[in-house]
Amino acid sequence: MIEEFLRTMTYPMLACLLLAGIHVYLGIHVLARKVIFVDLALAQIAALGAVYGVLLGYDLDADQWSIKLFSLLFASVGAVIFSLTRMRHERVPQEAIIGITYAVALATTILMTARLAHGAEQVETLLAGSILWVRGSTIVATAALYAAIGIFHYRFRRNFLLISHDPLRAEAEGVSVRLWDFLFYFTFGFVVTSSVAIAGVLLVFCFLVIPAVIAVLFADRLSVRLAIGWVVGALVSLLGVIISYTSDLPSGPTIVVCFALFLIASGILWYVLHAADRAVAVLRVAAGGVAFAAFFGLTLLFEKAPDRDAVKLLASPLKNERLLGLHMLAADSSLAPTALEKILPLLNDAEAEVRGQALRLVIDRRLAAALPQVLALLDDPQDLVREDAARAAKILGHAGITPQLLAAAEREEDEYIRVELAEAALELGDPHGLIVLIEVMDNGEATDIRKDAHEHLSAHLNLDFPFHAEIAAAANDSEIRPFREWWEKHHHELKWNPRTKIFSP
Amino acid sequence: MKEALLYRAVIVLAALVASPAAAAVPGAPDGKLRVVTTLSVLKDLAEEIGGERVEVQALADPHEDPHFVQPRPTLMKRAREADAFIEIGLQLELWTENLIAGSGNLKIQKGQPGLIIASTNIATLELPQTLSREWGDVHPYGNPHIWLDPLNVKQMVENIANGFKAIDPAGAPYYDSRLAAYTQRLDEALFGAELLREVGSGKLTRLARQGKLDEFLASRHLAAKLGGWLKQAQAVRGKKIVSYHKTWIYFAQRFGLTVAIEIEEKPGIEPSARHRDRVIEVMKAQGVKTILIENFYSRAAADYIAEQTGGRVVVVPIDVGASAAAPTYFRLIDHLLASLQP
Repeated sequence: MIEEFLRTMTYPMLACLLLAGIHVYLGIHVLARKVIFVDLALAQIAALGAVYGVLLGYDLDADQWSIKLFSLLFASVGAVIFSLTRMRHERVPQEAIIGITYAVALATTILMTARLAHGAEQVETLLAGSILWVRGSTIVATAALYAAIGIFHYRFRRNFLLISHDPLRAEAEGVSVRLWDFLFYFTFGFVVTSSVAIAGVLLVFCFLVIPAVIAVLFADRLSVRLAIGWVVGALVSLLGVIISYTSDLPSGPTIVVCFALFLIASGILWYVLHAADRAVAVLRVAAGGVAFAAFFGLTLLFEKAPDRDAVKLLASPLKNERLLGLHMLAADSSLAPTALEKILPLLNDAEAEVRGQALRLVIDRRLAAALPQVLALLDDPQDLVREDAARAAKILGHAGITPQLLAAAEREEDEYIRVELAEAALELGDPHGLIVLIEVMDNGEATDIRKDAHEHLSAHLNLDFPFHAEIAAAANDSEIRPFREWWEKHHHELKWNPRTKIFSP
Repeated sequence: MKEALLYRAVIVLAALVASPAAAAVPGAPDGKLRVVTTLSVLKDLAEEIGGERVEVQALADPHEDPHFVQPRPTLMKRAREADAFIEIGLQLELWTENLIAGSGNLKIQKGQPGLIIASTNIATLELPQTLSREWGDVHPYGNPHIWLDPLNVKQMVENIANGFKAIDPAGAPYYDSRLAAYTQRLDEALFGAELLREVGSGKLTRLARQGKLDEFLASRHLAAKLGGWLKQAQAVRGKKIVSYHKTWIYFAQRFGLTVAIEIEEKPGIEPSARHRDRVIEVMKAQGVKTILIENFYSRAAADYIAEQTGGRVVVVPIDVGASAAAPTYFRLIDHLLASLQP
């Protein structure tokens, strides 16, 4: 079990550790700058870049590196926008600019894909990778990239931290806020475009924000925050991977929900720890928990019970539900014939498929009460239904219905079904089926049907006139003549042996 | 007073609803029926049946996922001007309901002869067999990818011909003769001309539908006479494939392939890790080497699985015009069968 888990989940787990490593750090910056959704905006701009590359003639699969370059180029334009729009006195909050950028980038992506041969789907998958499909080579390449960016940020940590936490002081110290803002967003764009391709927008957002929020709740110093964030990010995401594996759930969303539950637990813990009266706080939390459980418990009372009554389904206006009802009845072999008679109206159903299924059930259960409707189905517009109706008539019928069978044979266009009808009449003891067979032997269009008719004839009659089905219908008159003459001479005096099913003069 | 106002409002509303339809000139300037289809394969079939009496346009780009089409003003315009609107139905095209309602074209509203549902009278596979919420909403009307079985196409062209005859009765003999000719071509392409002469279309079609064709041909010593696509498919008979989406069940049923497992656990839902591993396990255990994927899906999952199993990813079109190799329905089936050959 553990071996199998490791064999199949190692890459997703490594990817989680990698994502936690860089995103927790960047997340602390993002929280300090109050630009929570900047990753979504940058990812969307990067996707726009990819689409632009495709419009210029590059292929998403074949020219992966060129496409990545376009993504990064666009992401750096995004970085310029975000570094230029950070205002000293925040007349317009930066979050508004980010939201606008996101919306415009998304809309432009949609507009551009409307002109693309390969449509929106590919771009969408480009944006939203799944952590399940991550490959070893991708992890190595991404790790190298993150390490390079990590080293860069570590080397210039003073400037990066200063501009995030205290831009005014940075300015006073002569650090160029615009330049370092740009460098921050540029490296951030690098990270986000590659991590979104691995794990999708949703998961990357959670890696960025939730561990950082928990860290900021419990600590003030950067090193402690980082430690908390990394431990939380790594452990919770690994827990998510394990739960997703053991309970067979999609990995990305499972990890997201694990993060959320851990955040709620941390929030409650923080509230209790910082409350003036901890006992009261614990009671309040308990009361909240009870209210929450009661609310969802009550909603369960409104669960809609599925309609499992097969007989009710038979009357449904939806074809698939009527078929489902038939299927359920067919599966229930203990059903009494009287209960089965509920299906009779479906033999007149407007949908051929429903009539066909009902008819098959009639044949399987030998439902004699269906006979009048079966006879009506001999004129069904669908040949499959007519063929089964002929078979059903043979099984359920009696000597009294043979005139109807023969009349139907007369009207029938399909020669095989005509033979089935004649066969049914013969099985029920009516010799007039023989002349129908002789007609088909004489005029049947297909070679095989002439042969088939002859075989049926021979099964009910001991005649040894020669007959060659391969001779075309137009040329076989001389072979047919003895059959016809024999019929003319003997058809009044034929006797039926119900045991051997053979007619003889 | 109030009632009179209400009354007036109703009249204005009714006029608004009716005006686009009233304004539309019936038929194109040259007297042809203006036909709009969702998929290009329906356009191909409609042109085969309608010939010179129709002018057909397809709305969906064959490179797109037919389930999701982005609404554009031209789609609305075409729907508004159409004399006939042909769709597969079965909720394949999740976008037509709004389009048809929004077009304001009374001729193509639900229940009107101008709305032709190509899947009428076709027995769908994968109808939900139990009333389970988990599955019930996925394919409430059965799997909609019906056109990949040529036998279903015979019914589809009949439905299209019936639709054309209802809105253009004067052309009935014309449509009937074209329908007969096209059906004959389909039968010949599927069964081969020789077997068709020996047994006839009706019986062969019924046998193929009931899955009894092989048995019948063996018992009547006709197996050697089989030709066409079914003959070609004998080379891939029993071959196991893995597909991305549940697109291939009709095709697989007709040509004797087995879809061992789909990469998508449920249509449109990200697979779980265990399902991913099950796919790999099934492929290894059953020796499956072919992963079939439609040209509009991402290759990431298929490539991952191919890498793990040494399989081969085969990217194929499912609509006419999605690839240069499939300009017509006949060539589409030719191309699909050829892509699967070892």
